[in-house]
Amino acid sequence: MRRPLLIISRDPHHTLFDGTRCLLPLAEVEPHLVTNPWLVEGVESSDFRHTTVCDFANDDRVEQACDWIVKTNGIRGIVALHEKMVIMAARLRTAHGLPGLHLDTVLLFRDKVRMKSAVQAHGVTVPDFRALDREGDLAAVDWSRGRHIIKPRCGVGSNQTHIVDSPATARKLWRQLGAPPGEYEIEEFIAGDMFHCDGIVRDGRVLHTSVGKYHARPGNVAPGAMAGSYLLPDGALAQRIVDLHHRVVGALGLGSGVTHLEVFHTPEDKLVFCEIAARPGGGGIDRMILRRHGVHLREAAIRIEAGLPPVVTHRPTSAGDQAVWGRVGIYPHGRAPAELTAQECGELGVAEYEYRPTAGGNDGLPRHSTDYAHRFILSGNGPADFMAKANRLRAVAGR
Amino acid sequence: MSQLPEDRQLVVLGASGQIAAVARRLGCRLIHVQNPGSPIEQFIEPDSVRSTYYTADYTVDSFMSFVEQVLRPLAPDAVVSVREDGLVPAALANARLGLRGTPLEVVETLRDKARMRALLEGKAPHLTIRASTPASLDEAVDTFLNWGGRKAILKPRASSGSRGVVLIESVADLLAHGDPSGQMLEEYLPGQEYSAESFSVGGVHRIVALVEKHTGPSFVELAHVVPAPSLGTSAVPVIQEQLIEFLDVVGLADGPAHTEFKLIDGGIRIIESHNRVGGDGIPHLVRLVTGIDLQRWSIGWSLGLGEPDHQERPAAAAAAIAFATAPEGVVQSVALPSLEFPDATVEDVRSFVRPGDRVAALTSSSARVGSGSVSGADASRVLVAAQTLAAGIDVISRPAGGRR
Repeated sequence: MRRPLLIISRDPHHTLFDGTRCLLPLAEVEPHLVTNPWLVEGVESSDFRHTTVCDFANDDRVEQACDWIVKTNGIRGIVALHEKMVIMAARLRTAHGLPGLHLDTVLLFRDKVRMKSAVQAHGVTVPDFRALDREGDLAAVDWSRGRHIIKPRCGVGSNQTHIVDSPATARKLWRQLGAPPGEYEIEEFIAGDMFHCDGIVRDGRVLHTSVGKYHARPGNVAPGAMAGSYLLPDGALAQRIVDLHHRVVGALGLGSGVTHLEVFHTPEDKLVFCEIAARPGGGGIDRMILRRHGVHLREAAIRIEAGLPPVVTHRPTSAGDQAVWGRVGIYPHGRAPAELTAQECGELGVAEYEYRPTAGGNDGLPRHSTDYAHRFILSGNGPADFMAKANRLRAVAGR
Repeated sequence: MSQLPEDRQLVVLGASGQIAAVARRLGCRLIHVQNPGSPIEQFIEPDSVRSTYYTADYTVDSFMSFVEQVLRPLAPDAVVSVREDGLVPAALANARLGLRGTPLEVVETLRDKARMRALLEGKAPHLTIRASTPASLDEAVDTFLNWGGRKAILKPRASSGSRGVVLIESVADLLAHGDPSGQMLEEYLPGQEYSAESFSVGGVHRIVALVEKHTGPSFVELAHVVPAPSLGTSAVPVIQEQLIEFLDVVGLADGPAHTEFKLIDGGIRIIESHNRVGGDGIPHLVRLVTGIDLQRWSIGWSLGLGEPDHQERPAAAAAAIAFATAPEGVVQSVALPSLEFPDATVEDVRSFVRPGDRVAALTSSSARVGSGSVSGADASRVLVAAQTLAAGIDVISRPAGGRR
């Protein structure tokens, strides 16, 4: 008998597939899919016999439906890969005694104040930070450290992230936000480059890590701007980031899961923790890692949440001998983006191209850090070659 | 001030794709509840929450927990079903949520044929026939012999689509059938069978159409024609009066009914009735002949939606549907006829099967393999045309495991 599994999906249905291959091991699990009408295209009722398509605008109702599905169908595991769904999934696992990430662990990965407190307690360097519950908290901030960032404690995709350069601008912003206590934090702005480290952890052991360098900060979401990252070759800096990932994972007590860590590398050559999520990185990070290392992070995450061992191969799926694999995202710029031709992509060494004419919503302006109109996975002979190709792609996409 | 249709929410249990399309035209928000494995694309409007979709087996006890935990927070305005297996769950859900709908007692009276017969026996014995619910084979044999050993019908207390209906002509037939517990033994009535489509509003019953039914082996329905050509105009007033009496006796005050009956000595004898529209494409025939969309009305009535216009526009004087059959086995090929009739218009011809599908023995409606429907000026002629059309549906099947 197949293991009944609840899938709470907030991503397009095709993200449960790699091409035509379903990432869910359907021979082993019986999926009970919960999704919404914007994401349902391609759901085959022969494979997904138990499907709920509901309005995700009301989390409580979605959770009530999921709770009923878990109780009624003997659900044995819950898969929820979208950041906005991990707390709900953890609450359900905790309530029903299911394996996987429970609420106490997940809150450490979602709440940036709890997260930084926990890793700081284990000796990891973090930005100066504090919970921002009331205007009076701004007086306790050490403004001598320069600019600060005000952002939601449980935010996603750099949404509602604001840079403030003085107590006066911070107070003005705080009054505009009108947020209740418990929702926001303030932390110092850390200068330097940003890196990400994506890992697979099983029973406390780190089975895989990949380190990437952002070629633009994830928070720099602007019309027509370019975003993305490329994977670092092995080296001293990459190893330091991998080591930091190990310490952070240990500090947060992650048993099994897929991680996405973000760190700052300061001009003084210090690594400063930014944040970590217990899900695969978005915006094509999984695709470039698959290209470079042959490791499918989404599949690994699904298998771990399904209670199955992750597949961690090290056989690149294509052109693995290329020195640098990376991704380039181009944000919408307020008008309908033109799709690149296969010839244009081929000339620039693009291995994968995703064109999203609906990016930006009604006004055509980017809504979050991975709301790309164009997304490319490509390789270069080195970081400089990769960036040269990325810039040419941006020029072509922005025509 | 009354709510706009788009502000209301209707829960629909077990809709077909066609019923979902009819429901969508009501303009209200829809919450579809389907059994596992239903294809979802027919129920969801992409990029809109006007239609949502839940998988839940509404025929099992756990459905009530679904009603409480999932449906109640959504605050629906009504729960409906036009499927036989959805009628009781819809009534239970409406009762649990305090919503308008056909009362559970009425639904259960119609669904449980023994209960319906007992009620009629007490209140309108002239509308019913002798019936028994034998607890044992011995009791069934005694009853059969007490009725003079004349033909009888053995059938499930609650079923539809001719499933499990058996003609008993002798004690040997009864013995061969085995334990009759949970079933009903009824007198067999000879003669033509009819059905009536009705709609009730506040206890006022409107007999929308009288339909003539033609059956084959195992009482499987093989054709329907509207209006019934074998009913003389003088018989109709009595039939309508007695159908209305029946609906009053069973307590159906609002909503549709599909009632099957035979004529005996100028009066009707109820075979069975359901608080839903008829199946088998009958609503389409009725719409052609009367202009009334019974499906739309049946789905929307509890929200005050779907009532037909006063200016109903029939498309034809008569309409018929006939069904194709094929020998039990695996379908090898399917060919649809291309026919024209001088006195009838082809409305639709279709196959229900594809090569590779299995054809079951013809013991229920689900074993039929295709249908043809026509409209025209004369009921007898459209019936013949529909039967000709259905006979032209060429489904070749071979016994499973046999050679081509």
